[in-house]
Amino acid sequence: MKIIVNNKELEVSGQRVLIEELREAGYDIPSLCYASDARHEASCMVCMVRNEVDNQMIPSCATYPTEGMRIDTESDEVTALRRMSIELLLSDHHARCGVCEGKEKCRLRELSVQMKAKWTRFGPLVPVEQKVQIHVQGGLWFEPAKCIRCGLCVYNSQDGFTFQNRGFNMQVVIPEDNKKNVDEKMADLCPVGALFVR
Amino acid sequence: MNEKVIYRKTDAIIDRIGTRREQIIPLLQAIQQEFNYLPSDALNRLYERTEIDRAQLISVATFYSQLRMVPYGKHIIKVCIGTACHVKGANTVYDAFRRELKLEGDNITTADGQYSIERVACLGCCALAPVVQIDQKIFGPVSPGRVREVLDEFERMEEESSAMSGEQLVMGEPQGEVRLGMENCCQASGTAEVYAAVREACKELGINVSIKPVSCVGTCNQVPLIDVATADGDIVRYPNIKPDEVKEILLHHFRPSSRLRRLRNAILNQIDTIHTDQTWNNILYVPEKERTQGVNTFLKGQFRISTEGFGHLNPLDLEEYIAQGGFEALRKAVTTMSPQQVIDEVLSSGIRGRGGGGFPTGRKWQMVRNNSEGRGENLEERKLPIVICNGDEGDPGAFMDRILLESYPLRVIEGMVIAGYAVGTSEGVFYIRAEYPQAVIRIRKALDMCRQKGLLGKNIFGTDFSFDIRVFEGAGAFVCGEETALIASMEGRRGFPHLRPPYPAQKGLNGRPTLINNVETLSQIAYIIRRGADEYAKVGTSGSRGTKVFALAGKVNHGGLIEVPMGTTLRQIVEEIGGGVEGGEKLKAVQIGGPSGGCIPAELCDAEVDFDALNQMGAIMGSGGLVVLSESSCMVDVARYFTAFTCAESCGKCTFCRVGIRRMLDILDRLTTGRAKPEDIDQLEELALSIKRAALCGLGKTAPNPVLSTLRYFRQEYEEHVQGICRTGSCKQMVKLEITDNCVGCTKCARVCPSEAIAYTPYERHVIDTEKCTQCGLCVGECDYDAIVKLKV
Repeated sequence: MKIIVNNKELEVSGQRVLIEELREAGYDIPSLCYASDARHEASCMVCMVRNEVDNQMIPSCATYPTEGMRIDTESDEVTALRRMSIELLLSDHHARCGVCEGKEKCRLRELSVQMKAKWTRFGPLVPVEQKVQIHVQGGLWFEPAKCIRCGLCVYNSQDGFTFQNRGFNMQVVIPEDNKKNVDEKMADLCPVGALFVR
Repeated sequence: MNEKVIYRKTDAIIDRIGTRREQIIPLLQAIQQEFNYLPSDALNRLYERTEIDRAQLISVATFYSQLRMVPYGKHIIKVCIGTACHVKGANTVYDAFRRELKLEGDNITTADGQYSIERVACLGCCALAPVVQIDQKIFGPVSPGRVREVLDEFERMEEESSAMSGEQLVMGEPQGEVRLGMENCCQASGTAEVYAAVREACKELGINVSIKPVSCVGTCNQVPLIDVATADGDIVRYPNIKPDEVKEILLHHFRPSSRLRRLRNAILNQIDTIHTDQTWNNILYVPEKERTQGVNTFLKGQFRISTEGFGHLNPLDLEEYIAQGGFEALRKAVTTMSPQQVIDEVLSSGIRGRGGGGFPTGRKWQMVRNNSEGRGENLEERKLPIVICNGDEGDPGAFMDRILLESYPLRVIEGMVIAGYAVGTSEGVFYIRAEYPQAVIRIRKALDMCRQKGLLGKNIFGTDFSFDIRVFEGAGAFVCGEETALIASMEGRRGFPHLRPPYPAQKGLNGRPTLINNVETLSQIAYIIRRGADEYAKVGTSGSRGTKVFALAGKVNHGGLIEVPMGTTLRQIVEEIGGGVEGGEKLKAVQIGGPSGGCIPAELCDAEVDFDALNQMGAIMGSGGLVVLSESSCMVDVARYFTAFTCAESCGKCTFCRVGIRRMLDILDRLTTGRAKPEDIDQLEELALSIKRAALCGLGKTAPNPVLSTLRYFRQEYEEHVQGICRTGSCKQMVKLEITDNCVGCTKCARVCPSEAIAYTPYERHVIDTEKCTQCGLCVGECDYDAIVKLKV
């Protein structure tokens, strides 16, 4: 199957999501909530691209290529929207990177720098809850104020992490009885410093 | 209640409903109905006995607003904050209830455990705004000053617990018929009392008439309304009647059966006349023309497809529906047409989905059929399709689907069976939102009747086509009106939408091709099949065929449920059908399409109602809420209202909707409290445009519409708010109430003030303590000297 990416033809299998095909072809597609070998649901919208055919913005992590697709990955509009999604996430993130125990692996930090995102642009007007760290088990710790609600830990644990409430008040929580059901590997999945191993 | 009792009762519920993960919502609903909340012992039992685990339970139970983990009071007061109620001051009503019940801080339950109070998105009685529901009983309109009265009335009714069963009064041949609308909203405005009065009067006078609860007339502004049909076929209409007028009306039309009764009545009547002058004021003596003028202008210009038979059809009389041509379309479809012919007919009628997007219905049906026959993309996963009727009407300010389900359940069922035949399945589901208990009851009854009559079940009309329908009750989430979220909730998950494609028509409920149609769409199908596509296509405009049902509410004289041909202008609807703006004010804008729609300014109201025309103006047809806004409505406040609604109803899955809408609300909060900076307007616009582009689902993509359309047409007002001016006085923190020199010291305001902000000082000019004032506006209405004015802070 052939698709067009930034006005150039690209041969794709059609069996893998767009982000995989694009990355393999050398395009730099940022993302936070996507993990290639784990269950995921489109959430962060950082991997957004534009389909020129219907002029729709689509998350490339949840879209399969189709015949005749014309993808734009680098226009000003795409870049601006990606930056805004980072800025929105930062406005609800306890961004004290200096003292963050997950800063080495934090992709949000990396992308903010790379995209020159301003973390004060949209707030935080509602104070992000201060440093609360929850011991999960073994060396695994959870700091809710860092969480960007991508849901990777929720979708990839069996009766472990779960969502609570909805909308802006939606949080990731771990019930006491479920702590035994998750292990330290979960920290690798977390794109920010919300889950870390001490 | 001890643990053992809870376990026993929970076990019974599990045995009745099942143990699978996807049954979590019905399970939790049943548990809550039993215990009034979700007790932890019952939940522990679920973990032990079913596939449901803690993660799923927390995820689901905290997502849906109907489910609660803490016990509520004995009675629940639901204050509607839908659009129509909002513009008529629902928040002050809520505050008034809290004051009356002495609720402080975050408490929502009274100390004696009698009442709990909550705000709800929309009760769907917009024409009676502001509306309050206590348990199953609806009250409206409720002004802040009437709160005690409403509570007293509720308590009185609790004691009487008047049973309103359809008691048979008729013995022998009835002399005629009295028809009254018994929808939820009609009952709220006093039809229940009139019904009781009619029954009482018939018994007392010995008059033999049948009292018939009928489908909604739509004239919510003129209720209680009764139609008297005499044996010789005359129908006389009495709008706005009072219970004590009933007797006289009945006597006027019907003669009591026995001579003795007649004599007695005549004498009693004479005495009544002498003692009171009630009889002379009776509506009977108002000339016909004057009496029904409001109703007649309201009904003129309407065209009935979905609401055919309004005001005379008994919602649950199957025989009558059949006698009026009901199920004729179904018979025609299954006995004389192939499924493909049915789809072609629907396709060529040009009908587009009434749920909001306006996708051609015929094409959707074709997609589902193609996928079910294995001609589609997912060849290897051939699964039987399923038909879902989307009755999750969540738009604040809209109640069309509720009325259609309550008044015309059989028509919706007929449309659904035809859809099932067309796409080739035997399974259908009604998805009805939790806030519409009456609709659920009626649909269940209607389904039972159809089953008994053989219109549902095996071998319908003797063919080999079989079809049955079950009911799934939503649990309170606006986003579940979005089809992929609706499916998620039926599968026992949070109502998270997912990216389309795959469309439900390809891969929906449990991977099956799923046809999801809105209630109104399905209610038009029978007409199309019975009368033919060409006949249907004659109605409406070239791009939008047929009729559209609207819920007309807000600041309009005659609100109600209307059905008009597509292409009718908004001005016609407001001025002619609605009888103009309330209180003689000027029309400012019409809000159409609810939280996904926009505000169309008065100067554009000559536009025709049409899917494409509305889109161009930055609104959408939506499901059909029409809220009229007058000069005294603040557009920034309206934008904030809808944004607050979508913010609370956002599912939280994608960044733009979860955080973006919240940031829009932050800016709107600053604007409506006078704390905004000039650059805030630009940032608001940037956010709104970005969310429209980049949110994941339809809810998120359309959520900025109220902001974008008001920015487009009323930017001036935003700029004024930055300067701290709200001309309409709607933004309470930007105005204060003050008493002018016109005051004569009559103390009326001091007596009515619920927050004791006005000192009782007879014959002296009164003063409002701005610290205590909650700006409920009661004093303004009470003052006879226009001495209380709103001023800029």
